[in-house]
Formats: sequence, structure tokens, C-alpha cells
Amino acid sequence: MSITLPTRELKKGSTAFLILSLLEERARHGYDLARLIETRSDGTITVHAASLYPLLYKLERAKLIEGRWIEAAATRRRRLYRLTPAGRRALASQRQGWASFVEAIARVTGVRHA
Amino acid sequence: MRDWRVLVRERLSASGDLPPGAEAIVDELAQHLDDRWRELCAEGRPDEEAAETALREIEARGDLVREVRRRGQPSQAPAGPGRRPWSGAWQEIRHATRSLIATPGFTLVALTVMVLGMGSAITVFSLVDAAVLRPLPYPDPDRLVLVGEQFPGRDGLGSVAPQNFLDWGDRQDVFDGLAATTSGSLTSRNAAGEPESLPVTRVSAGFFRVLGVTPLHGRFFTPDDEAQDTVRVAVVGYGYWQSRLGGVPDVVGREIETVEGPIEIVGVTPEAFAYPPGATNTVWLPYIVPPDQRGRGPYKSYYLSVIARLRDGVSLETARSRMQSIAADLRTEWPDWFSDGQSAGVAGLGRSRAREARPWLLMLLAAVGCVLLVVSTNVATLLLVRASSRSHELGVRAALGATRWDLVRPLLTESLVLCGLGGLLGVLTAWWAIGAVRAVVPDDVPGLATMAIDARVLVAALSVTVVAGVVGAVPSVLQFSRPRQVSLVAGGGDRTATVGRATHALRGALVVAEVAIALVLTIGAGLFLSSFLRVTGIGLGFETAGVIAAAVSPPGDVTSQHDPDVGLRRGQALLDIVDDLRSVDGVQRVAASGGPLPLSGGMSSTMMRAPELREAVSIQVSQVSPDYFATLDVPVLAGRPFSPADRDGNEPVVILNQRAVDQYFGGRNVLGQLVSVYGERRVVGVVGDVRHWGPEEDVPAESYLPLAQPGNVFGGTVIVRTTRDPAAILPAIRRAVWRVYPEVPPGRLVTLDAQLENLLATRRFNMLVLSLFGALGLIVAAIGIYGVIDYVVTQRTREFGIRLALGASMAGIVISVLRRVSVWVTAGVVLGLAGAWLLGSSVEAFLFEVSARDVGIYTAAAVVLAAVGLAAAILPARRATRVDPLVALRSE
Repeated sequence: MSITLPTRELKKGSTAFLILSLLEERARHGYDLARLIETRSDGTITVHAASLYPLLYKLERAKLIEGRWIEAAATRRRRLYRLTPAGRRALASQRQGWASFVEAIARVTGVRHA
Repeated sequence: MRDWRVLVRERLSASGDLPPGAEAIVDELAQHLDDRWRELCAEGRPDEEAAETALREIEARGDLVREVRRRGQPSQAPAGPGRRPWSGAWQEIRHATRSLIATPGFTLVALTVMVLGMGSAITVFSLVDAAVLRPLPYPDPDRLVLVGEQFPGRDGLGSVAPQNFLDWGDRQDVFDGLAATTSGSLTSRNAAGEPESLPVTRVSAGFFRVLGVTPLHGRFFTPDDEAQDTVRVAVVGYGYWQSRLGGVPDVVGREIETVEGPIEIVGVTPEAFAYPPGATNTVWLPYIVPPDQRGRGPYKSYYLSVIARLRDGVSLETARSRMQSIAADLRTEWPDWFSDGQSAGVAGLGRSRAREARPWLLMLLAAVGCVLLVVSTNVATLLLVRASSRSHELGVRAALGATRWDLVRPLLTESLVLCGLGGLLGVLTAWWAIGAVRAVVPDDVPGLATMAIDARVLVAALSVTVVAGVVGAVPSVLQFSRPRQVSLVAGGGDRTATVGRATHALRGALVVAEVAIALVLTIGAGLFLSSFLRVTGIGLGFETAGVIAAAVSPPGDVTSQHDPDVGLRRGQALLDIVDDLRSVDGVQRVAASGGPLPLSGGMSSTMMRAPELREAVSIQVSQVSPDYFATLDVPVLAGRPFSPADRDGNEPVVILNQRAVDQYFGGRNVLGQLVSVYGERRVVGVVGDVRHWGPEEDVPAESYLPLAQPGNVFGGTVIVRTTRDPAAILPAIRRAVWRVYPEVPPGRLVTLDAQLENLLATRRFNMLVLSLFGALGLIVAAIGIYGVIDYVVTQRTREFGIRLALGASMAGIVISVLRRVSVWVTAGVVLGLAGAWLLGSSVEAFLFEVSARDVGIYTAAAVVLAAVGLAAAILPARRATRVDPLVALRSE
């Protein structure tokens, strides 16, 4: 099902939220995150490398996530990202924000979850 | 096998070489593209197609390129949210320092302002501290008091007569000892056998005990030493012992050779001791009250400085009323002696120091406060502008969950680092400046000898630095630390957003404040400069250029001062010296007077009677040689000057000054009349008024008597008008004096120009300091305006580009920028004028013939400040006209 959204702005703002929640489960590398976002949103949200990595670096500078190089034999080195305690707190606060926001929209427009 | 790294590098480095820090990005992207390509291939896509699709992932590479550029700069990692408040404080400081170094233009300007402001403030503060604020360097300084004569109608405490000192000492019960000091001199012979004068301090026996000092070696004076008829013992100062006596360990018992006989050294004062604080004390002698000053005879001399230590449990008030009641008793017992109605007064010794200087020193301190205020405001303005240009970064941080403290911390740290560095450099500047001040400013300015960067000054500097650092950060913090619930739509690239209204208003308010304070300082500078010019423009009534004067102190004790025969002999001696000097090469004119050096004050006064005067009136009197008026170029307005015929045995004569004639005789012709000044005399001349105390003091009524006739000569001054260098004449003067008084060294030799300089020293110092502050205020206001307008122009670059593209004129653009500046400057000027008006009454006392609300000066200062403000704005405003419309319109 496709939804018409004011896509660019919303997407920009919410990608960070998505990344933080995906990292909550376990540490992942960048490609993993891009793939998960695309599959779990059923293709609605796609993130290209050109937007993903700058955002990851921003989050890293804000100390919400932490990156580490992993060297494995015979493959290129990969960077693995995980959530920091501060990131966990930020994620919780984001969740709350979104929940309130969605509820407010629902109240006004009469949209209900299934 | 595709090399993804090469392909990535190609796309990222289109704008230049990749910095080393960007290799990590290349690695990560290469891995990502490789994974994507493999996935697509696994789905069945052809190799080339899969590669193309993968590469499209980094097509919109604006953010990536920015990230690469960032890696090339020094690390800008902000503190993350959620850390404990001061963990990593050292890291914060390092980050702030790097951030400041990365913007050298801003940092240099802000530091310069701080260094100038702090440097001048610390210098002046250390002077004021040394002169009036620092507690006295003696044990329990709060218990030390000054006891003095209190004359009705006169402020402050006067010097004490020995008779009163003795009676007070006998009757008082509120002090742990009363002590008297006076200055004097000792005549010894130097290596060449010439008499040499050594300034000494004479003190009564209780002096050192009152101050709480114990001798380093030997002992101090006892009442027995005072009971002698002449001085036989001495105490030497530590410095004198080290430099003139070789610091020998057996100094106690040695003798000082004087022309009146040997004096035995009985003690040495400790190294750090000096009285008054900062003085260079060489030798202390016991003060012996002259016999004719023990009883209450017809002559009164007030010359002692009396100090005391309050007894335990006695308050200053109690001591004061006790001394007043003792004085009242004495007045009842000796009504004639106390005909002036004087009483005794007590004041804290610390507060009495630099009594005359205290008001203007405190005024300087207030001016220092203004300077610090304008400097802090300027730092706050510059930091606010700086924070504004980082609003994007701060907004993102806030949106990503940073707490308020996380946003406040870097702003505060930057401000503290900037102010701390400014404070440190300011202290170093002050340290250098103090040396320069001591070299340039005459000794008369109190506190000069002891001003230094000591612990107190450093603590004051540190406190000011911290306060400035905190205050400087306040506006930025208020504006940029609220973690607004910015929805995450506040993405990157929002640089063209117009600035928040509140921030803009705050910047304007800061500029207005700077302008206002700068105007107050400029007006102050103008007022003091104007006063100084007026003072120096006042005619003294005599010519100082090319005139030198030497004090001659004849030997003999002070008791014979009032013996008319001695007076005549001294007068004749001075005339002999004058005759001797007439033939010296280079001497144009020479004269003598029986009083002190001109422009040093201290004239004598006496009472004059005349038939037409209802009562005796007070008049200054001095005895002079015939050439006196010609030597000093004092005009003879009526009658004649003295001649060699006016001597003992001929008719006693007197010359009056114009003021005396106007004040007592209604300006009438008084030539030929008889008046009584030290006996009946005929008025033979009227001369022009002379300002003996300098340009600022009133001219008193004066009378002049011939040196060759009986009068009241107690000292003597030789005055020489010469074309030569004073140092070249000095040997001739010395020889002339020794021919008459072989035992007497000449006292000070001064040029009258130097005397005048000394009188003006304080006023000149004030004028220079306040002019410096005024100039500083102007510079700071200009910098503040420049910084803000520069930023505003940068912000509106796009708008100007559009307007220019649409045909706006350059003048129109400049005017639109200047319009804002004019509003600020006008508001600042109005506020500054109001402020100066209100503060006016507090500086009125320091001005000379200038009103503290002089409209001309206010107007001139306002015009100068407005001009400076507009000039500071024009440079960045002109930059607005040089915007290339095409560049500005290109979207970011």
C-alpha cells in the first residue's frame, strides 16, 4: 500500500529515529541498516548511502551511537554501530514524541489503527 | 574485480584532494557499494547494470562532500548529551580553544579588546589599591588612628602643635600610646668634605610601639632619649644599613658623623618596615620638643603628625568624644591660645591616608568599572554573533536530544577561555604598564611607590575575568540553549533562514549598551581634558620659564626664629648670596625671598592693621630682595619696587599686591599710606597678583617687606633667572651659599617649570587616564558595531544579491544597512547622554571651571561617537554592494 506523504521532509526527520530503533536490537553496519529500513517498511522508505552515512556520522558525533571497525579475514573491514546509553535515552524520548504526535493526529482526523 | 574505493574517491574528490581523515568514509562507502552490487547481481541483474545502480546511491553527494570537508578540519566533536556536567571539562576547554584558534580574526579582535580593557583596569586598580584600599602593613591596622587639630570651618585634621601633643598625651586614657612624627634633616659630610643633607624622620618615644614594630637589632627610643637637650642617638632603616653602612653586623654602637657632632646608632628597623607605607626611611631621630614650644607663649606652630593605637575595647567614637572633651578643657584653661576655636579630632589612620587623593582615586575606580562594563558587553556581542552563525549546528544538536546544559557548556566554556586568556594577557600588560607609569608620573600621585601586581590585585583580576566570562556568555546562552522542540524537519542546509527576531533584538540592545557606555567615557574624557586645558591656560602672575630656585636652610634651631636680630642677619646673608651670584656667567637676574620655594605653598600669614580698617585683617607676608619682582617678571602696577635704600635704619616700607588693595582698600590708591605689618610701614608700591599655590588656588592678599628690614625670615630661597642649564648653575649657587653658611648644604634645587608640573601632576594623571578610557570606549564601540553589521551583511547576502540583480543601486543597499546602525547609535547616544547627565554631579568636584553638564562637550562627544559608529558600519556595508548577484542567487 502506498501512502502519499510530504516525503522528503518527513523522511529526513525520521531516519535518525529509525536508525536508533534498529540499533536497539543489536549492533549493525551501515548496509544492514539500509536494507532493514527498506524491507521492514515494505519499500516505502529507502535510504541511499549518500544520506545514510552522513547521518550515521552525525549521530556518532552526538554520542548517540558508537562505531567500531571490525577486521575479518579475507574481507574488507566493516564499521559496526551500536547504541550508547545516551542513545537509548534519546530513543525513548523520540518514541514518546512520535506516539503523542500520532495520537494527536488521530484525534483530529479520526484515523484509527487497525 | 572492481575497485570501489577508486570509484568512490573519483566522485568525492571532484572538489579537490581528499584529506587523510576521509579515507575511513571511502572505506565504508566502498564496502556498502560492494554489498549492494553483490545483492543486485544475486537477483539476476547484469554486472554493468548492477554497478550503475549501486553507484547511483552516492549520486546526491552534497552531504557526503560536506562530511569529507569536515574531516579535513580540526575535530569539531561536541560534547554528547547525557554526560555528567563537568566530566571532560578539560576536553571542553581544549575544544573551545581549538574552536577559537580556527577563527583567528574573531579571536584576535575579541582578545585585543579584552587585553586593552583588562590591562588598563588592572593598572589603575593597583594604584588605587596601593593608595587607599590596601590595609596598612602594621599589626591590627584597624586600631591605628590619626589625631589632629580640628579648625572650625576647615575639613579634615590639621597638623598638631607640640604644646597640644604634650597635654593630650598627659590627659588621654583612650589610647595605648600617642606618638608624634615630623620630618627633618641631618647634615653630614660626604667624601669630598662637602656638607650633605639627609632627610630624616623625627619620632617621639612611643612611635614604634604604637605601630607594633620590634627592632631587628638593638633598641628603639626611650623617654630618656627625648629628655636630652640635643639629639645623641639614632635608629637606622634596613635599607640605609645595607646600602650606606655595608650591612655590618655590629652596626649598633657605631656613629654617624654630623656637623653638630657624632650620633650613636642604637637600633635597626626590620626590612619590611616603612612609615608611611612605601616611604624610603633612612634614619630616625628622637623628636625633642624645642624649649620655647613646651609652654603656651605667643607663637604657635603646627607641624606634628600624631598617631595613636586605640586601647582594647575602646571604639573610635569613644576616643573621638574623649579627645574633644579634653580639647574643650584646654580651651577653657587657655582661651587666648585657642582663639581660633580649634578642637581635637580622631580618624582611622587607614582612611586618613591620601585624604585629598581619595575622592579622585575612587572616581578613577568608577571609571575603571565603566571600562570593564563596556568590554564585557563587547565580548558578549561578539560571542552572540559567533553563536548566531552556529545556530544551525546547535539546533541540530538540540533536536538530537542534547540537554540545556549540553548546549550551555560549550558556549560558556568558550567565553571563559576567551576571557581567561584576555585576563592573563591583561595582567601581563598591566605589569609592564606599572613600570611605565612609575617612570612617567610624578611622585606626588599617592600609591605610586607601592603599586604592584600583588595577591590582592590578582584576586581582583581573576574575579573580574570570571564574571566577564560568565556575563559574556549570557546573551548567547539565552538565545541558543533552549532545546526547542524543533521537529526533526530542521534538516541541514538551512543557512539562508533569517535570524530569529529575539536574537536580532538582543544584538541591537547590546550594541546600544556599548554605545551608551562609550559615550559616558568619552564625555568624561572631554570634561577632564577641558579642565586640564583651562588650568594650564591660567596665568600665574609670574614667569616660570628659565627660572630656578634653591632652598637655603640656615643653621640654628627653630627657637631663634622669632628673634628680630637673627631675622635681620639671615636677611642680610641672603642678600650677600644674591650679590655673589650676580656676577656669575649666565645669570640674568637673581633675587631672594625669606620664605619657601615658589609654588610649594607654605607662606606665612600675619595680621595687618590700618587706620581705615575696622579690625585687623589676615594677610600673607614675605620678605624679598629688591630684584625679586623683576626676576620673576611680576609687574609693578603702581609706585616702585624695593631698592637698596630700603634697609634697617631707613623708613620701614611695604608693597601690597593688587588683591590686598582691592579686598581691603576698595581698590583705591593706597600709595603713601601707613599700614601695620610687623610694625608700621609706608606703602610704596602695588604689584600684580601672584598665584603662589598654583593655578587652581585663589590669590590671597599679600604684603612684601624688604629683606634688609626687620621682619620674620625663617628660611630662604634664592631665585635665579638664567639661560643656562640648571645643573650648570648649581655649583655656583652652592659656593655662594657656603661662603655665607659653611655648614649648610643647599636644599632642593628646582626649576619653576618642574614645580608647576608637580602641582599639575594629579590633574594631568587624571586627564590622561580618562582620555585613555574614553579612547578605549570609542574603539570598543566601533568593534562591536563592525562585528554585528559584518554578520548581518553576511546573513543578508542572498537578499542583497537579489536586490542588486533587480536593479537596486549600491547607495540604496548601503543606506538600508546603515539605517539599522543609525537607530542603534541614536538610541545609544540618547542613553549615554542621559547617563552622563545623571552622573554629572558626582564629578563636578574634580573639574575646574567646567560644568559637568557642559553642552558643548556633550554635543562634541555625541558627534564623535556617532561618526565612529557610522564609520565602523560603512566598511561591512560596502561589502554588501560587492555581492555578485549570480553567486548569491545560486542555491546552496
